[in-house]
Amino acid sequence: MAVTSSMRGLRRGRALAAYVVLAVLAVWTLGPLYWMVTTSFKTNREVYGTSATLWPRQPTLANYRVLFTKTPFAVYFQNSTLIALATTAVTVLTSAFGAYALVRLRFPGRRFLARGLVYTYLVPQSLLFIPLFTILVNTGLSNTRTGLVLTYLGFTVPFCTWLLMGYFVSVPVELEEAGLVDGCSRLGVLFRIVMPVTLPALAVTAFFSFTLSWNEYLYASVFVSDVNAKTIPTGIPSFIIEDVFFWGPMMASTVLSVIPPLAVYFIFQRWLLTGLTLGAVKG
Amino acid sequence: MTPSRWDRLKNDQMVLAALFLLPTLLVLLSVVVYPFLSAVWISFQAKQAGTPGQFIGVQNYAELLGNPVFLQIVGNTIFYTAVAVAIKFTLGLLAALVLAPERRLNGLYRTVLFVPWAVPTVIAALNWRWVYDEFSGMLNNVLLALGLTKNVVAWLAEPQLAMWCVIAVAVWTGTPFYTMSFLAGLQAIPKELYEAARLDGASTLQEFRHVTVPGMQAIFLVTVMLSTVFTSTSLVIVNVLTNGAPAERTNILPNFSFNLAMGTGRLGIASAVNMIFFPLLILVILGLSRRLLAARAS
Amino acid sequence: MESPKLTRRTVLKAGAGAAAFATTTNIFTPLKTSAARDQKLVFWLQPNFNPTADRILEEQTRAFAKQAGLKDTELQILKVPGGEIPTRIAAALEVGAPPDVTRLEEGYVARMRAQKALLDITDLLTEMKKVPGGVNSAVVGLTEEGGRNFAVPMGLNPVVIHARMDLFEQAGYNTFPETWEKFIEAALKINKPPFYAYGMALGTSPGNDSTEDIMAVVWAHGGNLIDKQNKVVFNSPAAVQGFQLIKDMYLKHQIIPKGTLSWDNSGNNKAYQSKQVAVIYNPPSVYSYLLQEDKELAAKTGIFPAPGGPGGRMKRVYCDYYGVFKATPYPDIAKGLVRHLMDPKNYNEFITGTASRYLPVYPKLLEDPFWTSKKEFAGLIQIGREGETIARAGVITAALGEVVAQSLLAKSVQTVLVNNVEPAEAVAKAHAEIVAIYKRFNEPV
Repeated sequence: MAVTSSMRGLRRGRALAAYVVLAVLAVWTLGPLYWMVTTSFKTNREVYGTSATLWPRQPTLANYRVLFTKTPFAVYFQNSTLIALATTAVTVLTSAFGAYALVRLRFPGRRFLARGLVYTYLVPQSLLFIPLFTILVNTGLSNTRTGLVLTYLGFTVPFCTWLLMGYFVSVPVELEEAGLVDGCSRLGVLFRIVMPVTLPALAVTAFFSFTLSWNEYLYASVFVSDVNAKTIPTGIPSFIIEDVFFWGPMMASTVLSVIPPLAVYFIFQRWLLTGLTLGAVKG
Repeated sequence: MTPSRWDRLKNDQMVLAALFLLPTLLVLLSVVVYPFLSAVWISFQAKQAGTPGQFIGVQNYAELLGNPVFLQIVGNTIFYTAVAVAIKFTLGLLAALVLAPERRLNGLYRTVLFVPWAVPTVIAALNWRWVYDEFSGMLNNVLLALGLTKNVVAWLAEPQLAMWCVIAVAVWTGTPFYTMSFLAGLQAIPKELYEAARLDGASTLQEFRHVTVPGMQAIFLVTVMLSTVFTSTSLVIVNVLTNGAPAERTNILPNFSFNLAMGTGRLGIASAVNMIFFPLLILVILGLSRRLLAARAS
Repeated sequence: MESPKLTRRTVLKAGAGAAAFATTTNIFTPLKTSAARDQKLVFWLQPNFNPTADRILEEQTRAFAKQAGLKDTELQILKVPGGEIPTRIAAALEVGAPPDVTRLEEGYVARMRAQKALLDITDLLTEMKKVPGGVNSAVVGLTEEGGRNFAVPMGLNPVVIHARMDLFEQAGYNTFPETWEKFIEAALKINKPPFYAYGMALGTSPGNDSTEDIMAVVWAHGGNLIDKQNKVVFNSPAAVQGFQLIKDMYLKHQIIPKGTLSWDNSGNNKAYQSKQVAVIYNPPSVYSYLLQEDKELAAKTGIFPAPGGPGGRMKRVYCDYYGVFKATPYPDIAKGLVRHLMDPKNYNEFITGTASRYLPVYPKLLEDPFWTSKKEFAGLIQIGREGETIARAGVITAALGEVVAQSLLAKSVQTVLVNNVEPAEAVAKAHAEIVAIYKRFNEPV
């Protein structure tokens, strides 16, 4: 079919509209980020009052220095990272096995468990945190990173299991049955056939576990008061109330705390879309 | 050759099922089910933090349902969730539609639009509080510099503006989730369907209505379902920005319950708030998931 | 496909499952009590909005720990901001693991006493009373129950007006206006948005100053929260007039920045220190900060009691206390820390180091040249001597502490300012809510 001039015009119009939308979205997304990043490089004088500048006139690294010398930010960063990694590792393993069992294996109570799983995800943290705190203290796990990881599993495992259930369903049963016919055990089928196919799905699971854990505030603030076990989301905000002029270093901490999730996103970007496709459409 | 015991075990579905599910069950029983039952029990008690609780039956519930402030907060929660989800949906879909076709720098755009999700919510909320700050905030400074206002605006204290400002922050942090999900969904629609529609002479709008939307129905519903849960149970944004002010106009149920529990130490009634809220949430989710099942069946 | 067989295998599995379940439930029974923790001394140090003060306190605590023979790992100093204290204490008490020592404000002393969470430290107070000049007698009453004392006073906070006298003098006033009406007159001359005259705290977050600022207006008109018999008397024409005045200041004259409704407890500090408002009503933590970090602004700042009215001109002071929680496994060490911090020599170092953030609870220390040499402190000291507590004629109880902790008055004022509720209606409703709280605490109304 020949390309008419009106068709070309329409395509150009569409492309223009797309760029306009992108520009607006970019400004909307980047505006506050711009403020955060520039404030992190401003001196106190430029930060406060209605004479606050839109671009640092006297750029300084002082805020970053304060962040690392006067606050335990490095410790918070380390804790957040360790907790997120541990949560991710345990979640991926747990939910992979659990999802496979719920989808492929036959046993009484399977349907009940599958449905119950979704409902456990719906129970909000704002409801659970008080009794959870008692449990943590009784087991000696309050104020520890291990305790925090265990409570995070409460929301990462149901969500990721549910995601993976959707993915496993999309793996054709014929593939597995071929493996079984060839003499593979069920365990072998899981490891040698199903896992490689759903690697993108596992990537999505890891991604969500990491970001959910990195982000978490409520449990971390109630269950941990020991400075050595605090995470970024809970350690930094307390300085705002304590030190009246802390916005500069606060912005510096934001800039730094964005880096790990962005890194995870970069690493998994390739698989994220395919993984989400598989799960999203079927899940 | 008879299979060994180990071989038989490797194949016995029930053994494997038990083994595979043991970690999940352990986790869920200990950090979800047991605390949940405990919270239900507490909601029927008058319990001050640090003192043993006293069983008082449904008194907590009666106090809540008879309190007009509680009802206002329920209304706020519904409004906040519905509006935030609607805006996130629209922006996310727009972004996905724009980012789906192949284009240079798409990777860069996608990363930029993803960043709000990477910032821990509490830190994002604090930053936005700074943006909205009456005297030193970016918004006021920009408006003053551009001459669009003569005086500073108290974004988080003006009764008409406060809730919208809070919603804006929820939208800012939550839209990337929609964008990513919808992008994935769009890419899953087979190109042949679009070509077929074009051959039939369909316009862009008709393509959208007859190819895109039906293909995306499942992902739409799943994303909205998850986002409804995420949004309505998150207290961080409200707590940091306004803590419910002015005059409870921005207060939502999870924040209300948190303040009751931790601010005044009234654990019993705080639990009751959650117990009223949780069934409402379940109803919404059930409704949405029923539509999801119907969509998948069709 | 294999079908499930009921064999030895399934029975074994069931048995294994039961055993697993049994061990799981065991997790929920206490394995460790608080006595098994590593630290011998846990001190929650609440920052004073003053870096020097915090440093001195920390150093003194470490010095004590060393004296007491504690290793570094056996001491834990946790910096807990005042705004987080309600959350932390609620959580800590609920699981029976409160700190050993921390600073408590009046409301908390009353609440913790009522919950029987505090340790009897009468002997400490007796020692303090032996110091020459004794202890300020007005603030000791709150610590008493059944003839024993459960906290010791550690610092007086006069609540004072911090005012930009340079601006007031420019407007033709050589001293701070004595009544609210005169204050509004002056304020209208100084008010130049975005620079506002009065940074009145009206927020509802924990630890907020809003109750102080609101009651300052109500008291000036003769109103009160409770009377001598601890009966709730809030609903009065005076309170209604007070609410009306606040409404006028906010909506009609617009001398209050609109954003105060969402300020936290450092909101008014920040506003004054970054020169956005001319007047705030706050303990002298702001003034002491200025003396150390912004001497230029300190020189322009005047300290005064709140404006008065038909009800008189009230001077307001509240006291902070050190308390030891009964759950501490090492009561002698905990008491030792309090003794060390309240020892007159250490205490004086802290008090002068904070440069007026606190007034000493030992009246004799006020004769120290630190105080007598600066004329700016004269006003502060007078307010400290003559100031009254929030209960005025009555007694601070757990219920009253709860009223303050909840920012009940601020919430009520916000309905007037935002929802157009009439002051009389708002006051009546607030009164009813206060009565409900008293009933909940089983206190007579």
